[in-house]
Amino acid sequence: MLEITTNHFLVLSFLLFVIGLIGILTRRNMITVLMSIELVLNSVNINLIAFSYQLSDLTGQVFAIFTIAVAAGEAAVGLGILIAFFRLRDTAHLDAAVELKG
Amino acid sequence: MPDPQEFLLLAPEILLASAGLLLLLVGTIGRGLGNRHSAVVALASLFLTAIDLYAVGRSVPGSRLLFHGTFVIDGFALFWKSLILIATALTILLSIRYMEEAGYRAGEYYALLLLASSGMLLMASGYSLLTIWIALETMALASYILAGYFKRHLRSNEAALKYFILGALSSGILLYGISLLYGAAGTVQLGELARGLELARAQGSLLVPLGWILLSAGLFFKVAAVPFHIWTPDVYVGAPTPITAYLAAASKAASFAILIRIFYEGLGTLYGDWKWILAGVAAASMIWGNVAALIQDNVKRMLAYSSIAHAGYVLMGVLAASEIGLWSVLYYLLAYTFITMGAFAMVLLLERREYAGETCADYAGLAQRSPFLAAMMVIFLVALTGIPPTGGFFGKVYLFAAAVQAGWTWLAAVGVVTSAISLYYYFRIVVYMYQTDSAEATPVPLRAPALVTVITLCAVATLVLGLYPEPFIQIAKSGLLVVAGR
Amino acid sequence: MELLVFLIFAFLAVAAALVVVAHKNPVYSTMALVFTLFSVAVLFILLGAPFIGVLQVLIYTGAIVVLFLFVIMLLNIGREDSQIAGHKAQLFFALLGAVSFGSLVILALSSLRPKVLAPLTPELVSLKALASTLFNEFLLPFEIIGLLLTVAVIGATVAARRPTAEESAATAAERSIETKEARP
Repeated sequence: MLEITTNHFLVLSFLLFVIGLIGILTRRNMITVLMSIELVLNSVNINLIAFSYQLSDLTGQVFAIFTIAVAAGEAAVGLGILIAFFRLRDTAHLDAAVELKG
Repeated sequence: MPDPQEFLLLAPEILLASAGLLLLLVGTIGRGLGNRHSAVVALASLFLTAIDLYAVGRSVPGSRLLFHGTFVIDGFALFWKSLILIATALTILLSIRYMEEAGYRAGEYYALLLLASSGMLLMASGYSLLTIWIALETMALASYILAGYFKRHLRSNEAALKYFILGALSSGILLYGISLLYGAAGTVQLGELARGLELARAQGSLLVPLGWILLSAGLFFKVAAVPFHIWTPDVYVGAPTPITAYLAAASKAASFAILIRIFYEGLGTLYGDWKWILAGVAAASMIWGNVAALIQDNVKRMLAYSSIAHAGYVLMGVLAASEIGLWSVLYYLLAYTFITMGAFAMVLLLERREYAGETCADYAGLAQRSPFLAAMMVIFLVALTGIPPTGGFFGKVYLFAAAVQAGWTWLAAVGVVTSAISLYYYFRIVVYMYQTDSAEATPVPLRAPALVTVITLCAVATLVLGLYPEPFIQIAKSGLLVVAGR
Repeated sequence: MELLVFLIFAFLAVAAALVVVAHKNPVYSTMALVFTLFSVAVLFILLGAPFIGVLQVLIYTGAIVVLFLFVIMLLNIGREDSQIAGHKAQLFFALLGAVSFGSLVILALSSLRPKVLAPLTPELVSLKALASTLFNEFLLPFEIIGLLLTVAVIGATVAARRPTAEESAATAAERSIETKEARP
């Protein structure tokens, strides 16, 4: 009974996914939001690798490489936007974004 | 290794991406190319890409899978690619004067525009969830930056921020869905996915519904359908207006291309499952988009809600999953591209420096100031409502007919009722233009020949699509797909 | 044995992820992120994907997290005086979504016949097989990711670059318009 199954990994990835999701939706500090996005992308990787193992198929591993690359790209662009935001408002707090309402 | 010959069929994408990089490279030498020169280079590269695309289309009759089934060339892809190229070219024409007055560097702007468009071309041809997702991210990253290109402007910067956070969230959800589908089917190639999912579903795996629900949530975000539309109004208002037009036309077209391809070819065997969700989203988008547009005073914001509503109409055609449903979708988005580009060109023309000139009141008395422009605006508004003799009319009629034929009469009824509601807010602007007096009596200065060209071109195209729809329907019919397993 | 390794590192990953999301000081969040990513990397190795595990450590902890730290230091982003209470509605919706989604996942898991993972095969672990899949079957996505990273680099530069004199002038004009609009 004490064997490890794909489900173990699915539960873990789900937990990380939800934690990341809550972080994106509730945190007001842009940098924490960016980190939460990384958590979400990483939870996807756990799924992909676990399925890749279960199916004995390398597609999942290759996909995970791409996910890591895209995560790096997203982090770079996000931090760039954050720097522009900070230069304008002297804060990384999202509550400072009040121009567009309705 | 794939056959080197296959790279030749990738020429349009390669050409467009290299043109973008070239613009960037030239921009670093000395003072770089000016705004106008950059725009000319970008337009020329779009023209060459279009020729290349035509050549590729001629050399590949029917459809052909390339690169181990990760890329496909078929009539469907060619249709969307042509549409994306047209929308990008119009966006560049809209940008020339705008960039000149804004004082931001033009080289990177046009370069990012071309790179985003090459991402869109790849999206239209993607035949594996991996290709589609990476091309989508390429487009998305470039769009975030373009939305915030006026980075010293509070609104533009804020639009980029909101677009980025919500976009990254949606792409995370979409990706989680893809990973679950991979687990269920063991593949990410669309054709194999359809078979694999059918098998997994028969075995009762709940990874399948969970996977496709999350995947479609991400797709609905990209086409701005309710309830994943929250980003749309803010981003449309905050982004530089040419980019708003680009998002509303090109980005939307590319997103619909992947939405239709994934739903038809990848999830086609699950049609019985997803049709209800799609119907709900379509109805919600039509209702909420049109109702929320009623109370908007800012024209850009109103057009944003109208774009949400139009996503609902289009989804109705996708739902019909019949031949008429699909070609009416293609026809509708062809017409919509011209209509929405024209409408945003009008906004641009009236917009003075920064954000003045965007409210409905700014259209007051336009008929006296510039009768020609007022008439053009009437054409666009009439087309958005869906009244003859414009392209918007036939598009809507075919969509409704397709929905009724496929047994979605209640959805078509929702469409008709909400179109009637939309009459109110579109014609509010007409009333402003023709019934109220303006504070200013001078005609609107027509300083930008490119802008006036775009407006005239779009108005003519809207009318031609409405008066002679036949040839365009034939074009749309060249881009049909069948739902897998039906 | 594998289960024990899994449990330890899964626990570490989740605990650190909670710190990432909950801590008010972004520097601590970043450090916790390193912990999560590292624990997940160990799990990748457990799952027969040592190369992905190495990539995870090199790219995520080596590059991305350093980038985060660099920006935090550059902008001197301090503690967030957040009032999560002010975002009760959002928190509520997030939790609601989490619960409903969680129940769905539990359903999905119960339907999935729990497969005890087979022993690793050399094909799955071998770097050669991975490379051959990457450069044959997925050559096109590999090319596109080059395009994506180029876009990301250009985009980050455009967004983060110090504004030119003309751009600053544009802002000054905007500011004056805004104050004019605000006055009456």
